[in-house]
Amino acid sequence: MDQRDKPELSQPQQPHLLGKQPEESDQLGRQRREKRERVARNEFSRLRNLARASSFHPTGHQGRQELGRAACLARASTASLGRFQPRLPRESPLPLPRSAGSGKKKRRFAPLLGDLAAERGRQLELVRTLAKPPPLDVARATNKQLRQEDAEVASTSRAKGRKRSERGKRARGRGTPQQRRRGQQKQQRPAGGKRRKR
Amino acid sequence: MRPLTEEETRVMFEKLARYIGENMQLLVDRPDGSYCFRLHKDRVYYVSERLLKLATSVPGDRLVSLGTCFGKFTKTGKFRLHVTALDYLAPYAKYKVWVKPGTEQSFLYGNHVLKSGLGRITENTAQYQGVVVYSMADVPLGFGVAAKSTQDCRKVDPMAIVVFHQADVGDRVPVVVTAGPQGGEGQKAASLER
Repeated sequence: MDQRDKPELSQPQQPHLLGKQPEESDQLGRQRREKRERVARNEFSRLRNLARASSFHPTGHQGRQELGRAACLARASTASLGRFQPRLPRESPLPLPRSAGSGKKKRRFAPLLGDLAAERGRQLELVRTLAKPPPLDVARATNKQLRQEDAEVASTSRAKGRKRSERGKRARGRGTPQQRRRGQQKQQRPAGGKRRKR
Repeated sequence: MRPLTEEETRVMFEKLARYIGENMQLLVDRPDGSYCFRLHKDRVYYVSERLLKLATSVPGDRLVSLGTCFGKFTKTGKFRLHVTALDYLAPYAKYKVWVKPGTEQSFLYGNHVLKSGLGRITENTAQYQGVVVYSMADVPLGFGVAAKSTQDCRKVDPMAIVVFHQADVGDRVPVVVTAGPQGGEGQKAASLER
């Protein structure tokens, strides 16, 4: 408790506070006390969270996995990196897998002068699969599709042509869809070779 | 130095197949000797077995080159074919382009081939097909990619590009110091050619 806290004044000495609770008389002191409690509570939770996250226990108790990891590390922290370290009474005789401590595995390649005949065989297989022509020839497929579409349009327009001639001039003037498309294509082609006067 | 992984072999063979197609099997399986591809510092070398065994005695950081360098793998894993592979592409090329005498110099300086410089082109060349460029005297000059198919080449105007330049024999190639008869003590680097 610091010096700034004022003792609570009894009611008769503060006639303007008649009807209210006596604790409310010392607002500043109350605020200071509450702040101190909040700070202490925060500090406690912070330390508790820290302890949880870092698996540090102030009394020294550690879980089974933590102890195992610590034992591994201690074993490897010798001059020979744990290779000639005598084993503990109940420790497994097999060395722990290398990936126990580290996350990444070392990338291994084929031997430099391995079985050359086998390597050749594998590469020949690969050559055979790559040299095959693609199963779908895109140009031929698209041309075929376009020809089919043109044929369909031509057959439908021939059927519709008789009905259209009955309608009148306007229908005849527009022409068949094929003729219309050809007209469009003619316009779209760039003027290659011939120079246009600007 | 190490052999190529499956992935790297596939990428490289795909690139080579664009130029020589199924003739690649003649490179892999040769009647006159056992040849293989080895990777050293991101570069792919085509080397005979005899030479490979000799090269194992050279420390890795001192080894500059061995056999023939076909190309290199870039940082993103793509394979870039170098002009030093031309000796092996030219005899097996499927699609060829012959350029007129005047365009030879231009091509050797790194320019693309225009329709006006085109002498002959193999029939049925598809667009973006890998081609080997020859002079009219059938001397291989380099290789490239066909910008237009053979049919389109006939229709296009004379200033259009028909072959994109990829590599030519005028490229600058790093000079290699070969180990002299005096022995290896004073040498900084060792290279085994052919």
